[in-house]
Amino acid sequence: MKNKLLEHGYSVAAVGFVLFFFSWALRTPAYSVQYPSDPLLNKLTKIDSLHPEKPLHRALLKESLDSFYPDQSARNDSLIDALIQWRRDTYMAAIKSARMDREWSWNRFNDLAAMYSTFIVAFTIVTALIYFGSPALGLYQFIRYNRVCPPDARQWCEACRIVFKKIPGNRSHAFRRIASLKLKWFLKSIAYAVLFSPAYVVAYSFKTNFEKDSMVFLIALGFGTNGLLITSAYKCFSILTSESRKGYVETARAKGLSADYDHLPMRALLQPGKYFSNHVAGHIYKQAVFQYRPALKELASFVVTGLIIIEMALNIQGHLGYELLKSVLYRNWDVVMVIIFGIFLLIKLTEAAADVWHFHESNRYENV
Amino acid sequence: MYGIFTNRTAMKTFETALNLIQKQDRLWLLGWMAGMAIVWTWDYFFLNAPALRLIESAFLNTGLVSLLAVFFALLWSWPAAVTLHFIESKRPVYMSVIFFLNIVRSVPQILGVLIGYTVLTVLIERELLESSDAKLWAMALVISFVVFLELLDSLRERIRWFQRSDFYPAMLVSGVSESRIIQYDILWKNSRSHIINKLIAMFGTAVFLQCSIDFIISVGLSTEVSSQNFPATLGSLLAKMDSKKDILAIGNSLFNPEYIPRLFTTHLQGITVAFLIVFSLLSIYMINRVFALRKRL
Amino acid sequence: MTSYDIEIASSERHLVRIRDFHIRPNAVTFLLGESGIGKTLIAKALYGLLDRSGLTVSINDMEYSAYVASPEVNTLQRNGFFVFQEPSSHFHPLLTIGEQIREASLQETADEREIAEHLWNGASIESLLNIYPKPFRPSGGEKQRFLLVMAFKKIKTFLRHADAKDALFIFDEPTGSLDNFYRDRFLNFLFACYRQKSFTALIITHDYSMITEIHRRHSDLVPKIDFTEMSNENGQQILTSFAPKTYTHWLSGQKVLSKASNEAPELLRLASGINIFGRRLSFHRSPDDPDEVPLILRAGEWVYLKAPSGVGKTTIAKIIAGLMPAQSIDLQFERKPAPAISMRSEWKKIWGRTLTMVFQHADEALNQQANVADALKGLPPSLNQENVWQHIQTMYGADIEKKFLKQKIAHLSGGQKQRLNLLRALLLNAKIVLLDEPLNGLDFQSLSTVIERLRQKSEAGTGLVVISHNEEIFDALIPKENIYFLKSV
Repeated sequence: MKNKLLEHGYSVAAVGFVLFFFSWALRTPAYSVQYPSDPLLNKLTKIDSLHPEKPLHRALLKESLDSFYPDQSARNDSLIDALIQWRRDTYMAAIKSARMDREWSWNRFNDLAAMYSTFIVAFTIVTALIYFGSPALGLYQFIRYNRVCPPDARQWCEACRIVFKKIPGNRSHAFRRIASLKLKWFLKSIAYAVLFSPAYVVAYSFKTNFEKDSMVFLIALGFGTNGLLITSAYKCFSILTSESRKGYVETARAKGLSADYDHLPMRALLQPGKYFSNHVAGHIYKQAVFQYRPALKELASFVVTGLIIIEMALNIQGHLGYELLKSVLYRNWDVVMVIIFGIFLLIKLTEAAADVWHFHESNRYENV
Repeated sequence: MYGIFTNRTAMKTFETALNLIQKQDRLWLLGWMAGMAIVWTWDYFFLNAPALRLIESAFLNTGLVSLLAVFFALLWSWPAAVTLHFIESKRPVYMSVIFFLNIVRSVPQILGVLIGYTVLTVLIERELLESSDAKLWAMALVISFVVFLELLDSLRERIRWFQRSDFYPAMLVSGVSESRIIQYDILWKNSRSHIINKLIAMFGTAVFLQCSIDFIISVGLSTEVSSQNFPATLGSLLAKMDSKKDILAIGNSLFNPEYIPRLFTTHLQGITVAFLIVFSLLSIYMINRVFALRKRL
Repeated sequence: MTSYDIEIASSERHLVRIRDFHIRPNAVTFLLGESGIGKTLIAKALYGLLDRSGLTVSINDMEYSAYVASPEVNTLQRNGFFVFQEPSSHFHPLLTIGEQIREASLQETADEREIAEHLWNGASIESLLNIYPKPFRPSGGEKQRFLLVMAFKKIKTFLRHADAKDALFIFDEPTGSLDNFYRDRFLNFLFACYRQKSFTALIITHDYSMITEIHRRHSDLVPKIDFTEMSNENGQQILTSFAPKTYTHWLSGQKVLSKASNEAPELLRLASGINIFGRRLSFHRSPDDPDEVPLILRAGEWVYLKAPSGVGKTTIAKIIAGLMPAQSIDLQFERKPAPAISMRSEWKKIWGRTLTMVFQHADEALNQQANVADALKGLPPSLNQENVWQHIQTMYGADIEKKFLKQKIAHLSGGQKQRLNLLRALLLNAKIVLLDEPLNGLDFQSLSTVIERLRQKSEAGTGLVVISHNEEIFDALIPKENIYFLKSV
């Protein structure tokens, strides 16, 4: 255990070192203002109070130039355009350089720290929701898979046959049955579509602007889209399926535990302990959850991927993912490295926590 | 609509077909293809030709990059798994490789892809990467580096599983060479289904990651890392302004059902791209799942 | 008489098809025969425990779900029990042993003490009840006996309830992990219960030496015991009544092998006193003899290593084969010290040339996905195919067809697999062959073939080290001086 934690520590240190090295190696030279060579333009750039972007300033400047240099209206126009262009370029460069060269101030640090904490909160909530939700969903799929009672399709056929008087039965009941099945399939296909959609497809179906305070929306997207929930549920489902073929299930059945999934109440899925009295599902679930525990480690990195995709794709201002994207685009490498390090640290901490938790849980069964 | 069920045989057929869909991975593959074909046919009649051509090439590019990524991933992980097995006795080397791999494992996939794409952009800016084919290969390469660990882990897990059983020592003491045991007996003969299963899953991941990253860099503040530099894919197509409007129409029509018919005519481009992404991801997942159940993995 | 027609098919092929399987009510039926031809499948089907996914099952022309739901089967299940083979996989890893033997229909604890008394020969099991099952603790033999405890709890309940009429107790290889001592205690207790009130029992085994034990100590019950042998002919299972005399006559006809002369070259020497996992393993001439002796194998000789189950016979074989590390080990091959375990490249020169080993589970030792021909490829030195074919014929009979080479190993019967497992070792020109349970999974016919082939191999100068719980057969074959007892402290 100690070795595992040490390894996590070492890898954080190693990554920190590499990122620090890169941010040092990629730093950009200091910025200085380049003045135009045209003497008149050069003079104009020195007038601080002049803002030719403003229509009033532009009109005044044009008039003054026209009065100084009459008959050169075209040249005067292009001079003003050139001035505006220069001011814009210098402004952009200044912003960029301000971002790059600005010393690490408390303000800046606070900004990042605030984004980081928001990210941690979203990450924790989404991870917890998926981690505890997927066994329930996986178990639901597992129970359905093992049922031998007529699946929906057969019920549909039967209802249709009643409607068309091929077999006797209550027709209005059959109609209702068909309608409810249709509704069920419709809702199911929408749910499936959402579960498999990348977050941005779902998000842009509802709105185009994403504000800073869209935390709930972010969590909902992180939980329900990007295929995250469904793939972790599938992981649980396959563990359950392979466990259900193990010998101890056979022996449990020989002892008289039931293996009838048709009459297994689904409400047990909502209990935290998923207790199935006298049913092999309880045995299978217990072992499956134990085996699923280490999956928390990989889940952490998937959740981060999902959240970052959401924040980047939806351009959610003031969120870590968006800040990262912006910094990559502006080549603010030090910010990029800090954010990457923060994310790596978060994942490593989750992994370490998962290791400790799993170690303690397995120790219970070690006969010590 | 219920007419087809008045005939008993037709209904039986329908039942069998549904049964098959639940059981057969090949049927899902067929269903996927059929879905694509239907969408294409519809678009052929209702979508303007330039848009259709754009979607076609974006779809092919996405498919090609993801396939290549999966192929590369196999290309890395097989030799890596075998090599790792052979250097296991050389503790310092082995431990440092494992340490490095563990670090890579903890880097979220999207960050890996983002870093890779940043490198690609630099290469494109310096005009080291010009032809669109080369760009596609490079994109696949980046994605393969991000996903290959998953396959490597699964290959190593297979080797370890057989090592723990009598299989491996029994062959060893019969004088069979270790390389043959690992490569032929364990990986080729006994792990093919596992590998294929992993490859299918990775194909899904590759499609997802690629669409996401292309969407992100296209929709993001496109100043320097411009999407114009990369070949069109489903992700970048979806990020276009008009596609986004089309998607917004989906949400709109949920609350205004009378709007639905317009989805399939006016908003066809965005809807098609979104459908291609979502339906492909769903189909790949289903194929993977049914395959695993059929092979009892 | 209760007779069953059973058909089980997967989507690809027929797995089992038998007609008229007679299970005499209130009698004990021994189902003998090689492993892997569907004995377990039949038993599970009869008991209503078959996992139906992917299988088509019919019993007496009844659809399986109807059969399972029938009141007769429910009664059999309620009163009876099924002891599965491979005990280690039949315990839930996250429940204590105590919880598991007192679950569902086993809640009553009244009889536990008496049952444990019999199966553990008086030793206390209290300390084992609070532990979680782990691969080596409780040991395989202990796990096996805990499964038997569950069955006996049901038997005891059945005995107490006078109105309980029908019960089916199925034991699938119940003694696979037990040595002869505990095997006999199990049989004793089972028949003691049976004498109080008879029940239907089906015991699947390929331990033919049980026959001798039954005739020796339970001869009063012989009329109540049926021996049925199942064999496989062209994919069709055939059931025949097995005459116990077939076995007893064959056994008494076996001649003791002669001991090699002292001039015969020494192939293997392992000094007594090997430390492993904090235990010390030593070799002795007899179980009560405190004196330690080195294990010595000469060319053309058989050496038999005996010990109760769980002492570490397989461990010793793996140590000799260079597959397991041990402290303070003094091992020599042909009077030269064996390389240290870390010297992998040195061992690679030994494996398949100086020494080879046959592992006990053919299922694990062979590549199930390969075909027969593949399994014999890649061996040193590269073998002449014609030669290989001749060896196959001596092992599988002269009338074996060439297409056998193309058969997938997974589709072979257990006996065929085990013979292939042995054949792979016999094809090599190794001077030393370590045999771990060489008779596992064999039916009587192939058992005698295998013994014959091993005899020929040793006559050609190969030294054989045998580990087997089939004491009766090897005691009859191997001279007393070549039998070693393994003790662990």
